[in-house]
Amino acid sequence: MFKVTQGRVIGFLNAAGYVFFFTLRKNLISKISLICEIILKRPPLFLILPLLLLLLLLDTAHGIRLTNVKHLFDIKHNFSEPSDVSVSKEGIIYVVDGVNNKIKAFNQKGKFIFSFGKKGPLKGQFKFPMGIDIDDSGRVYIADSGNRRVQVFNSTGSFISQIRVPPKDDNPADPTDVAVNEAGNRLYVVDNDNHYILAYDLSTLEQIKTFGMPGIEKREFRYPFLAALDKEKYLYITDVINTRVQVFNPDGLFVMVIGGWGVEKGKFFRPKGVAVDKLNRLFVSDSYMGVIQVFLSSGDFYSVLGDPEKGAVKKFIKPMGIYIDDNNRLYVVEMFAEKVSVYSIEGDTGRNVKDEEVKQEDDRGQAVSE
Amino acid sequence: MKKIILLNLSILVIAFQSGISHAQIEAPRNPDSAKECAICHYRWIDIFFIDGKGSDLVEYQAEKVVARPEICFSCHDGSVVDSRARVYNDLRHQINKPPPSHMRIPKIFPLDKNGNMQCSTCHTAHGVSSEYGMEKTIFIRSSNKDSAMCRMCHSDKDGGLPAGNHPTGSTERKIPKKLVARGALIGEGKNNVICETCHTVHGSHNESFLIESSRNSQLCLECHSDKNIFTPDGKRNHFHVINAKSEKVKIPDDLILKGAKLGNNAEIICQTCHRIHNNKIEKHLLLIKKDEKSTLCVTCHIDKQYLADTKHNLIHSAPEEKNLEGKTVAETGICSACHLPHKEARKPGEGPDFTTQLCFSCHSKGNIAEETIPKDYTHPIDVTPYKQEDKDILLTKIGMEKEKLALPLYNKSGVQDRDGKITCATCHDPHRWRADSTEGEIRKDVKGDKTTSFLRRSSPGLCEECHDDKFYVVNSKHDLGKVAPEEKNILEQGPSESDICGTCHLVHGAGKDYLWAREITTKSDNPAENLCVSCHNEKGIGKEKVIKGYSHPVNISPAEKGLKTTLPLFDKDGKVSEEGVMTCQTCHDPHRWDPVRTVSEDHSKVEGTSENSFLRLENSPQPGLCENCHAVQAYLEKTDHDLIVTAPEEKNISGQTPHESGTCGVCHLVHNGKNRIKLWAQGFAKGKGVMDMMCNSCHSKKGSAKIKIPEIDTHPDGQLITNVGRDIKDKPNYFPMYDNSTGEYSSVGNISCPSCHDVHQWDPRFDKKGNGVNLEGTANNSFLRTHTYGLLCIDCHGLDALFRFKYYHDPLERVERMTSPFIPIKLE
Repeated sequence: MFKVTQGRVIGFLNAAGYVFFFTLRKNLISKISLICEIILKRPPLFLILPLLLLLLLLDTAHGIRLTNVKHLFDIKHNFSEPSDVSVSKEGIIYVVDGVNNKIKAFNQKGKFIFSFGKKGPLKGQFKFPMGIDIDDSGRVYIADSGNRRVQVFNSTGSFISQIRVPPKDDNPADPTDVAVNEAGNRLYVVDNDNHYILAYDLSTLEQIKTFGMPGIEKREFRYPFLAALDKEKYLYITDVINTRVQVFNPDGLFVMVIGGWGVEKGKFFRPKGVAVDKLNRLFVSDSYMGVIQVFLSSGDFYSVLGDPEKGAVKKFIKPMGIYIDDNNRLYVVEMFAEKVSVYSIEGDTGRNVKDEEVKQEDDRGQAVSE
Repeated sequence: MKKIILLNLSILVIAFQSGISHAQIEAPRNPDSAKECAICHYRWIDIFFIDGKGSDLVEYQAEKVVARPEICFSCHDGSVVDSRARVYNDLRHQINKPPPSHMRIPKIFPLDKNGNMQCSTCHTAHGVSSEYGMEKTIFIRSSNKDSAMCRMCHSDKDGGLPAGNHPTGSTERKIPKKLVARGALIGEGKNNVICETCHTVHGSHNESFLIESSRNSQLCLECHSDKNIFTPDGKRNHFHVINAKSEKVKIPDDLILKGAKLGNNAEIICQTCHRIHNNKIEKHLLLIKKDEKSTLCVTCHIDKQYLADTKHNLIHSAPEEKNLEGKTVAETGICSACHLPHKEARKPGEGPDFTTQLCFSCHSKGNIAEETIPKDYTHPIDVTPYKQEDKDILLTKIGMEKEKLALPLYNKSGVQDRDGKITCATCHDPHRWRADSTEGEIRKDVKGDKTTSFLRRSSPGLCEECHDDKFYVVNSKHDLGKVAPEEKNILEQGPSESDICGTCHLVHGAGKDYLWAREITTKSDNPAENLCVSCHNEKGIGKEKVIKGYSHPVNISPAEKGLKTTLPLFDKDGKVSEEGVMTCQTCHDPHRWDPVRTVSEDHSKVEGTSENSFLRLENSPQPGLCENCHAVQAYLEKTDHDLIVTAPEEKNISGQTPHESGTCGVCHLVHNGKNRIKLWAQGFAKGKGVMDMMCNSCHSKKGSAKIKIPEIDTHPDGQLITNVGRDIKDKPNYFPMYDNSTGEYSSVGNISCPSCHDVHQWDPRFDKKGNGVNLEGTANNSFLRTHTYGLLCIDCHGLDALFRFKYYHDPLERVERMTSPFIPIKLE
């Protein structure tokens, strides 16, 4: 009797001379056993080694580029299902602590500074807020979902203004996120239940237009959720049930779709959070798969975040809102873990790393339709 | 050849692997791997289901996870539906656990392979249609109309009162909007109570998934608001308390075993008496069977059972009396004559608090205990018994420390509260006749005494609970049991009947001031003084200590004399007041013989000194009491004029040594003096004026200061000296002059000893007491007043004033000599 272990494949020869191979994938166990019964009854030893090599090839993870992230620290502060995070130019980290109906602020080391808000319908109060964005002036915009409004605060949490998001066809609004384009004087509000985006004049807080409708085509949504702007103020919106990200230019014109249905690279099962780094790469969190994938500005899949210590895909516990700051730090809200994990984005490893390089230039497609 | 075999083998392995995989895995029925299905049926995604492997991103998924909470929450996290707070905050019907063993789960509600409940036990994306509309029941396996689905598993909670459960179905009682706003559902029809009227399966922060907590009775009170002990405007109803924790009532363990519940902090709540489900013990879902013996009440209120043999059991004292339900005590039980758990049993009387109102419902005019209404003045209620300290006044009205008080206090709502106030029930336990035993008394003609009368303690122990600082009076001259055992109070009670407190104070039926128990024979301007004089008069029991002759004035305001004091002053109503005047009790505490020492043995026959004598402050050997007003005069202490130091054997005209009389009492008698002037306590020696005569009484050959006799001690008279401008006390140039015969202050007259000397202060430069050492004086001290030489003498005598002074006061200095810079004068 002998035992050979190699990676996740284990083989041994029983007393009767039968060879059994086991892998950690259960479905292979029966296959290998059957092969051995049929082909390899009392095999000569010279056959065992090549067979093992073959199985190892079959069982090795498929090649994929990993964009490694180095864990810096976690922010935990009695969160109750936090949903989104953003960082001001001053470096204050704001976390939407939704079920606690609070916005909590932390310094760059993750130390708690202050919080604001409590449950209620009044100014400065929240009802299960969801999304957040911060403009260059440090004003904090909160999608106060349950109160069907967006509230604006100064950097210390003092109430400034609010936008009552109107119902659509008698369906109450469900604002789940906001995106602020201060240079373009635009405020975008994602209405999850009504499947469209509202654009506001930032200076007057008056609604200018909307775009989107329920459906599966371009410019159509099934539950748009969180949004982000890149440096050119292109708008990226996760389209949850359509399992994709839609991209719109600053005029609200459709540009392209990123991702699609599935659990393979470049696909989504539950896309939730989006963020764009300074290389204009798009990061998309998938709350069920627990991964964050990286796409080029062309919309092509680039990589998945990797764990440099394990040399494997980095797994998150229900990642939701994500944010990348000017220091290339990635903030990930892990809703089930009730924390915000903070990483520095490192280099890439994995298959074909040398074959491809990140394109610096903007290679997005052109806007195609109103 | 070997290479060929190996290559063929490899091809076969690959071929078999894919081919066999389909054959080996049992396909689900009606699989649909299209996105619209696989968006929940994760297992059905092609790469898992068809290829049998994972992807670069995720592991292979072999098991069905469609019913796992993680799949549900991947949409219910707000990205499709926001169920964060309602469902996924650990506030939901249990999952990942098996149902209770007694519960029969209908087959349409599948458990997982381990027999555990999962989301899919109740929910399926392919759910039934419902009368409520798809938005409510599309994911539920069965219609939940009127909580029908709940009842399918929880059948033991159904059936209403006959089944021992809270009734469901339409009711006359309106389900409040407030409850609906919090998530309560109403079944079809009018006020239809269903399971979900009280329970919500998802998102409740409360026990048993209740819409509101029952542990503070709030859920029950939403509908049963008429049972609330408080009205909407905060007034206390005369119902059984809820949401209150009793310090004395313990809920029996067997009642807890039956299902009685307490509040989060062990408070009495609705469910302490009522069990809402599976309770067939008694109607109204009570946990105890009701009977005419008030078993329901006595189960918890064990200490109230002794009422049965007292006059408070109306079966003895008022058998025909009916409560507000129109029932006699015989019909309704002894407790229900006065108490009904959710109704008023009697019309409450007038009173400042809840418990007093209960008492007055009988003990008031026109009611069954009218004859026992307390007459005249009675102990105050609605006051706090705790120590009331005023740092500016040397008087502690009540000395009780909060942590020591054993008697109950009550808040406005009648709940025992250590921060509450005194009510009737603070001293009386209406359920127990005797303080020292559980024995009752039902005879109408037997009156209560200091041990009975429903008192919580026998008197005077009861009084001592709050007024323990007054009990220094025991064994003193004011303990009438010791000094006047035959004396009776206005109720004709001797000390043995009334107890020590009752000789002077009555709790009920007393006089107006200080609940006085004795006849007031005088009517001075100050009621507080009248109390003392009611005994200390020529015919009273304190006739040996009557104030007569010359005494310290009373009914004067120290403030008007420019004096400050922390001793208590009393206003015209006898109340302590900063604006008040002096009276006997300013200096005397009638309850304490010795202000410093606790004297427990019999001291009723001891003659007093300045150390005791019921003084509020010890006045010997330090003059603490006098000093409290006369602070400047107290600089005399431990100087040569303090005879406790310099002549301890001397006696004043009352025969007291300095130690007995105190430093001040050597020269001044506070009571019963013989001299009006300065209440002088010594004799008068020779002298040209009364002031000099007083000084010379000591500074004479037979006096205690015989070594300090000035050989030439007087200034020539008849000079018409005036001190105008120098007659203001406390001014540096103060130079008083006195009338020779009366000793009164005078602005034109003759110089006497105290013109130059302040007998109370050794050194005018230092406002302080002496150090007890007999010093030889100089021109700077020697009890001289400030600048005596520098001002007054020089005014008349110019620069030779000192020479003249020495010439007239010291014979040795009476020589002619040149003393520059003074100009010599020719002496005759």
